Amino acid sequence: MLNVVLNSRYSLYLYALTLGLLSALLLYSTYYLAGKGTYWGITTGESKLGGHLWILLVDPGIRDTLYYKQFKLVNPLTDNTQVIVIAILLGGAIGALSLGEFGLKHFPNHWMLLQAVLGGFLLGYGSRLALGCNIGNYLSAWASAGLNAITFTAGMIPGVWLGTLVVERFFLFKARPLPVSLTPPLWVQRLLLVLALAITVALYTLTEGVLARLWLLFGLAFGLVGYLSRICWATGLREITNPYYGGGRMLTATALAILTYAILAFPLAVTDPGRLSFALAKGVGQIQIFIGGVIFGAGMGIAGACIFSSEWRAGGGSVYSTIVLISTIALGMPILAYHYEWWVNTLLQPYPETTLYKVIGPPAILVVLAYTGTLIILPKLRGGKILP
Amino acid sequence: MGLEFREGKYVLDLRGYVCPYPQIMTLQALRKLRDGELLEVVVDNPASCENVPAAVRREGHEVLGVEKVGLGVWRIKVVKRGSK
Repeated sequence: MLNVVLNSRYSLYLYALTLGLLSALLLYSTYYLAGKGTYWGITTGESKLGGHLWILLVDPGIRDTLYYKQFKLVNPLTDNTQVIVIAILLGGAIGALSLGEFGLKHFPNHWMLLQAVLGGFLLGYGSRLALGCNIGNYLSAWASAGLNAITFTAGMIPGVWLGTLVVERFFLFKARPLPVSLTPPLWVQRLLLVLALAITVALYTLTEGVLARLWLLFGLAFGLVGYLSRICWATGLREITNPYYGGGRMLTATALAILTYAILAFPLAVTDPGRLSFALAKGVGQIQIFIGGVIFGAGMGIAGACIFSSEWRAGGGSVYSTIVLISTIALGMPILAYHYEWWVNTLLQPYPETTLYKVIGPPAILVVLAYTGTLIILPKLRGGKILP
Repeated sequence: MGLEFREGKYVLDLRGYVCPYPQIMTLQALRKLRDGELLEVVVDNPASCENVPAAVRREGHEVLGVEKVGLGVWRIKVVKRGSK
């Protein structure tokens, strides 16, 4: 049975269902424990961590930007949005160490380094311009039946195509790994696993508040499932624009995660929407979300990964993914913070914070079903099969 | 990266590479093989264990299996099928 879960051809889909289930469980847990159900995201917390770093190393004045007045730089250990970022990294590390797969690897040459920094920067800049990434503005936004999900998706798809084109034209055959890797022997990995678990317990103890502790535990689970499943939204979206990069499996898996999340969240969304914090990229309109989606999508195409998968890959020891993640958090997001006020004031901001549940009521779920259903049958339409 | 012929099979060592390079390079290597020839792709990027088999199956090739051959290292066995 364990073999079927871990190693069968369908394990990716089982993990995707698990990710959707965990996402819904977090929503219901926050609803019952904190009084307000919250759809999860990553990049709000990442941008705050980037802000802390920027204040420490570059410019304390960044806290006076409009962006950081809106997303206040509070203590990470009291803030669920920041705790979950650290937890996903730890979850990825625990997954890799428990399977004996941890290793410092994917050391880049200068072209691959440029690819990581450029891709990471665009991931950070685009995601915070749109106020959400492939989790907040895609997975959770689709589960919220948010207009931002449609807009962000419409921006991401051409962005991924463009980013992939840049990789094919500029980086292919130039970006190479250095012939270096450091894989600790199994007994060292066991020791590191104990250390990672001890850090987790310490972090849990230091974290203040029910909500932050809850997000810490779910972050660990998300990181662990991410590592075990190898799920990646960048690959899934690339399978829309460039189908020869995959057989549609990742696309199907991401669709199953959204579908599970949306269906499980549906009863709460239609019965008590007033006590839900939908993932709607609050405060910005659809034009800004679209532009952010294009930039973010280009970042995914260039980096070859989404923010979520960069986190669990970095936790597993990938140096390349760690550089992508650092560029996202410490470059792209703080630099966007300086430009944020200009974008907000320059662009028209139509239809901010719109969920289709408020516009058309419960039938909004049909829009989500239509989108995910299209993703699932797309491989079949291209001559493959459903659940390839 | 280099495609080598060893002991009756082709070996493509892609350790160190991240997505999407393992998919691209495996498909390019398969174009050089003849129908029925065996290619072993060695990767250390966990996501490639998912993405490389998916990409080559889509092109009609046969995946014999993915096996762990070391700490964080996997071997993907592919048989070239068709003329692509």
